[in-house]
Amino acid sequence: MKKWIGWTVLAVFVVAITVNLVVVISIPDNIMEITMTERFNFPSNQWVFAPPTTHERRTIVRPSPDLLYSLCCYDISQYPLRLTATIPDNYWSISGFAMNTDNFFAINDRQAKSNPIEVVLVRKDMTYQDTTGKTHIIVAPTDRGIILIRTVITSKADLPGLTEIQKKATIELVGALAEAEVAKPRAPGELSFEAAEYVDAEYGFSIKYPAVWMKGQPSGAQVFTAAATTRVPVITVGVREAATFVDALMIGLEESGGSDIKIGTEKQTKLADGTEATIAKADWTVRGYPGETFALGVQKGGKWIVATVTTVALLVPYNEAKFSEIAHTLQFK
Amino acid sequence: MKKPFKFVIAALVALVIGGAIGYFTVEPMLNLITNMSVVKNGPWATSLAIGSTSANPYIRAWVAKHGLLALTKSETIYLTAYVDDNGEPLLGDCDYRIEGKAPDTRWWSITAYGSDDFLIPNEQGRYSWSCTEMKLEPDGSFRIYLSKTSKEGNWLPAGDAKELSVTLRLYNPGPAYYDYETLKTAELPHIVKEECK
Repeated sequence: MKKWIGWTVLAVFVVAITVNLVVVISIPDNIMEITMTERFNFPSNQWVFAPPTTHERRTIVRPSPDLLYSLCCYDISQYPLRLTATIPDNYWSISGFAMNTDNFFAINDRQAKSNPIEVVLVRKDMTYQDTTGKTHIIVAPTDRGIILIRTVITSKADLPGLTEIQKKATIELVGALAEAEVAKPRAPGELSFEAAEYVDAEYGFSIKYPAVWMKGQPSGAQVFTAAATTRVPVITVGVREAATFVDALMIGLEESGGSDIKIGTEKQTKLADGTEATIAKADWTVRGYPGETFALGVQKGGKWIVATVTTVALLVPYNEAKFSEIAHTLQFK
Repeated sequence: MKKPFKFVIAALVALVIGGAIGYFTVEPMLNLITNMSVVKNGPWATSLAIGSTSANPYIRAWVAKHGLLALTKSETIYLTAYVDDNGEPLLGDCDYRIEGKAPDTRWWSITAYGSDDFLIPNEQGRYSWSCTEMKLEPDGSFRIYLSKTSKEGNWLPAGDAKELSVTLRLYNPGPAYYDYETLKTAELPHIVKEECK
């Protein structure tokens, strides 16, 4: 009996240590995940320029009120991320934090190779060619994490100037895959991307889109939508009754929460199956961000079938060739 | 009792009791191991493994909870005091003088926090003093007053906080702060209690 008690006590001890360690190891990852998805809750790969911290800001514990913070939740699961920032005269740093909270890089104003500084964040299995010799290429240990710029607020009088400099920071996903695809010779008619297909039996059309994009829930008059994991680019196909292509496009963008919509010159085009179509570029504001859309419309039976490919250039640059190629995969039976 | 039955009972006891002990001792273990791992100098304490890949899981978890997104020591050293020079907890009802020579570092600041690790609300909107804005004494030293009631000079309001802590941030610190041994004896500001109400 005593032997059994001894073994049980030992087992309790081992389980206690194991559980304790497992919980402790999971704390940093959990806090980072909550911070990125619930406390920050802004799209990946986008700078957020925070004003000076006051007691009202309760996002991150023990903040410094003497610093201007620029934050970005990075996601390099698909593409490398290029960041640039203008460096002021005083202490400044850019740093990266992995999902386990490790500070995997920090570069301050005195270590920067150039001003503005250029940093490219890559995964272990990605390569990036630094053509200027001035780019800081950083290998991130995790696909997601946080990039933080700290700018010292030297005095209240300097704040407006520092804020202006802070907002000069840029961010973009490097279209490494697209560039590699352009370089790869393709057979006539072959798409530059691995495609998935949406087939609409009701309206008798199909359209292709990058297979890595995720299908979403269509809203309003949309019949299909899919987007990159970074939320943009996003493809939508809508079917609307409208007098003209511009009217149909305008209604669709307004339905998506757009404002300040400017539609460029319409042009005529032909789809692969010979169907006549109209194309145009639209610049608009979507939920406060500047959106750019390549749109293609076909009139069938008094309705306009409009395919749009939209991006927010702050996150992913507008790529007319690629977006046009996607929209032109629209085909009718 | 038959052997297999005994084994199942023992395993269940180990899983339930062991699991509960392991889970409910996370916080005490975090504080205990972090406290054992930090370097102390007067009222100040820090870990030179903050932000580093070499940090043990307990330090990493403690930093995630109490100082998320902290930089490694080459960029910034964060020294925090929860007590005064006499080792007594910093309380909102007491007045303190934080004073000393300017640290050997490129840029530094002292910030006050409440027990929730956030900035303390106060009408003045003053949460910290940095080296670029504080008024220095004629001999080049500095003095900050941490108190509820206003003071002449570098006053750091304690607001309505009951328990306080202060963090000294050293950006691009000098070599004396890099090493556990030298940091233990480096000259750091004193936190002197003046009076309590």
